[in-house]
Order: sequence, then C-alpha cells, then structure tokens
Amino acid sequence: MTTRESLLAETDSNWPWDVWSQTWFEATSAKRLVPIRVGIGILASIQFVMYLCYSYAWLGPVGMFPTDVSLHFIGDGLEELGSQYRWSVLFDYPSLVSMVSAIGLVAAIGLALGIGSRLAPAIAWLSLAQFHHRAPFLVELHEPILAILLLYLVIHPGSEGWMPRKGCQWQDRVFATISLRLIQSHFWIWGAFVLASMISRSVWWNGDAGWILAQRSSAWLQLSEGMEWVGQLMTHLIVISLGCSLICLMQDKTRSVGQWVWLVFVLCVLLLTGQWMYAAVLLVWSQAYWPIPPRLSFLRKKSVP
Amino acid sequence: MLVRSLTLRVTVPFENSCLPNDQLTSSQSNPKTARASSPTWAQAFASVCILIHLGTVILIASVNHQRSKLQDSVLTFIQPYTIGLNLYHEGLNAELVSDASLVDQYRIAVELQDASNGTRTERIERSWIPIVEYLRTDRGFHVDQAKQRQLLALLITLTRNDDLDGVLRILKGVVTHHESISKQKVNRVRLELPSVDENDLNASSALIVEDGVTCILASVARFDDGEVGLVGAVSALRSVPSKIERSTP
Repeated sequence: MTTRESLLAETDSNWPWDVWSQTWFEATSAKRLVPIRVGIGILASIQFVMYLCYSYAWLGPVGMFPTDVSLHFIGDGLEELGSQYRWSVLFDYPSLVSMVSAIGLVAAIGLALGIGSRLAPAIAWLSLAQFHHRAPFLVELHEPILAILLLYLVIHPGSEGWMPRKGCQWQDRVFATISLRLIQSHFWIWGAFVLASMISRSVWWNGDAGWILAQRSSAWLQLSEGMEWVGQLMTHLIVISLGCSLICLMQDKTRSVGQWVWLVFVLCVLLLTGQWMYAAVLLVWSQAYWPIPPRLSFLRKKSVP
Repeated sequence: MLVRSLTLRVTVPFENSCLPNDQLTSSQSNPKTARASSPTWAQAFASVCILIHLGTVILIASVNHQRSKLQDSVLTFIQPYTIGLNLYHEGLNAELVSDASLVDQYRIAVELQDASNGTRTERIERSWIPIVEYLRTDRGFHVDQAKQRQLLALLITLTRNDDLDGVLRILKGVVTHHESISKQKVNRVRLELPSVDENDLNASSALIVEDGVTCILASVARFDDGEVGLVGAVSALRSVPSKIERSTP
C-alpha cells in the first residue's frame, strides 16, 4: 500500500470528493485573508487616488480618450465582439469619473481598515470596473489582477478589523476558504500561463527580453552597452524564479523556499519594468500562499503526533 | 425544518465574526464538523460554480496569443461572464517585450495655428509641441505615465495594422483635449515614429516623412457646429485613398 493510499485509508475518505471538499469547504480562519485584504485595500486606494488625479483628463467629457473613441475600439455595434456586455456609467456620464473615483477610494480605504464587510470590496470592484469597461485598452498590467482580487474578497473579505478585538478569536469560515482557494488557484493559473507565454518566445530563451525591457526609459535598471550580460541574467532569473516558485508553492515543505524565489521574480520584474504597482499587486497576491494554508486532512493526520 | 436549517447555514458566515472565546462553537474548533455543516447539495453547487470559473480563467489565459475554433466558440458563448467581469488580463508576456523598445520612440505632437511666422527652421523647431510622449525627455513623476504608455502601445498596434482611421480617432481626442486645456487652436497633429522600419514605411500609406521625421500627419478641420475633424495626409508616392476608408465602421 502506498503512502498516499495509506493516508487516504486513515482518513476513511471518499477520494477525490473528500479531498476536494476538504480543500474548498473546510472552514478556515478569516485571519488568513487579512494580509490580502489590507494589501489590496491599500493598493486599490492608491489606484483610486491616481484615478482622481488623471481620469478626468483622460476619460472626462473632453478627455484624451473620449467616449466615441472608446466605443469604436470595443467594437460598438458588433455583437460578436461582446461590446454589449461592457457596462460602465462613464460611457453615458463621463463627467462622473471623479465621483466614481472618490466612491472607490472610500470603499478601498474601508476595505483596508476592515470596515464595511463585503460591501467595501464590492463597491471598490464596481468602481474599478467602470474604468476598465470604459477604456479596456488603457488598463495597465496590475489593474485586472486588482479587480479580480477585489471580486474574490467579496466572497469573504476577512474583515474583522486589523486584528480581532481583545478577548475575541477569529472564527473559521467556509466562505473564507472559498475566497482563499480562488485567490490561490487564480494565482497559480496566472503564473503558469505567464510562464508558458514567456517560454514560447525566443527572447526569453536567448536573454534578449531583459535587455529590451531595460532599454525602456521606465525601467529602474538602466543598462548601457557592454552590460548585456546583466539583461540576460535577469531574463533567466525571471523565467527560472517564476517556474521554481510555482513548483515550490505547491508543497508545504518547499513553500518557504518558494516565497524567497517569488521575491526574486518580483524584484526582477520591478527592476526591468519599473511598474511598482504591478510588483506590489504580485507581492500581495502571493500572500495567499505565504502562511502555510491548512493542510489537507490526510496530510494532517500524519503530521499530528 | 429543511428551510430553517438552510437559513441558519447560509446566515452563519454573515454574523459578527468576532466572538468571545467561550462562545465559540464546537464546529470552529473541529474543522471536520465545520465542513460538514454545509449541506452536500450546496457543496456540489459551489463546486460546479468553482469549476466553471476556474475553467474560464484557464480558457482566457490559454487564448492569449492564438485560439482554436472550439475555444473561440466557447469564448463567444461565455462573453457575458468574461467580459462582464472583465476577466481578460495578461502578464509579463511577449507583447510587453516586443513593444518595449518602441513605446519610448513614439510621441504625439501638435502644431498650433499661430506658429506660421518666422523662417522654416524656426517654425519647425517652435511649432511641433509634444503632448504625449512616454518619459522621452522628462523623467519626472507623472501619475498618468503608464496610461500614456498604454495609449502609445495602442497606437503602435494600430500603425502596424495600417489602421489610419483608428489612429486619427485617437489623435482627434488628444487634439480636442489639448485645445480645451490650453485654449489654443491646433492646426496639425502628427504621430511621430522616429525609427520606423523601411518595410513598414513602404507598407503603410499613412506613414509619411516630413521635415525628416517619419510620422502619421493630419490636419485639423473645423465644422460649423464647432466639431473638430482630422484629415489624414497620405504619402504622395502612393495613390491608394481607399485605404483611408478601409476600417471606417
């Protein structure tokens, strides 16, 4: 009998349903979601402050990317492109951009502070979605990730303040588990396909990608002639660290290694792209794996003496 | 009884989640009991929803570059879900790298109406004012610098696809915005592409060379109702006016 079979036999489980059920529906402490909630709340607040600063100039009534231009590019009137499913109040009322930004900012601050329960991430997501649907071509790398994390936090925001009140204890929640697992699963799927996307192109194999990215004026790491090897090193580091971290994050034993490898990946991305919001969102997203999640019961039985 | 038990199970997670230690129920200290508290049918329903959602996420991620007809059909079917939730996103992918070297070189510049005095050289130096350029000369902090990059990246794509109509639509928005904030009339606008490939230049009727700068050039036309329109200049070497109307909806 293999180890796995013996473990399953110990738990008297109906594999795979029991494993699936334990993974997704075993109540988890909402405490696990706190770093994600606070992090996403802070980053969403920064995003809405930036929207407050420039969205009127870009998406307002006489903005650089007016409504008619946006409608043209989303394929308005062409049903096969799905433009009829793009919903944003900013199409009809472009002057509301500042108000939507302000509402989103309040909700995001509430989310960071643990105020408003599910309402806070829901309103923040709705506000963010107004901008994404209004001008999907202007959405930056980190914004869709921010939006989907807000959506997952609606399932359970882990909002019990910064910490539970004195004399209280975090309660276990099934919804907290579902929210956490969705964040984890989406993270891994995203990482796997980004890796697949990268290694399908030669620039990520021959090391040119890092050099090309470093030539952009926004890169934090500016490379001059003769420093090509640094670009090549960074390219290889990105590919290897992303792959290794995805593998390491899958196992409890290697997860702590994976965290450091993931930090290397995020640091390389930050240096080469200069997109600090993107790097910050990736860091917060990885918090879903940071504390070791509750193990599956067939593993726990073995580890508990 | 069934309704009562379901109601209780559904409302439990919405209750005040911070309870004194002595009020914690046994289900919270026993995970197995806590898991068993949600009914099987609810778990089955939630499982289906989770699988559909994760399947959609995988599908969207897998059609980043190319897609099969099957994927295309499924994506079209689930458009209300994917587009409604705006699930599309990309990561550190190939497009980011391929556009990286170009975005910095593109810029949008306008020529004001009162810039017609002086010698030709003076006019050239003075008249073309850059209004959208991604950190080309100014390394200061701009909150909208990433949006400028996105706009220029979109223009790169449109130029590569020889979509003059799309380029002119964007330039029109930029001109209208510039006029509204500067209170100065714009005479002409151009999208500059300093290091365009010779093959691209030959392939596109929209690209011209003016004053040594390869660009897409358009003149501003004003209508009686105050509306602004752009008329794109087509290279004199080619006579393919139909290309201008190619992508008009």
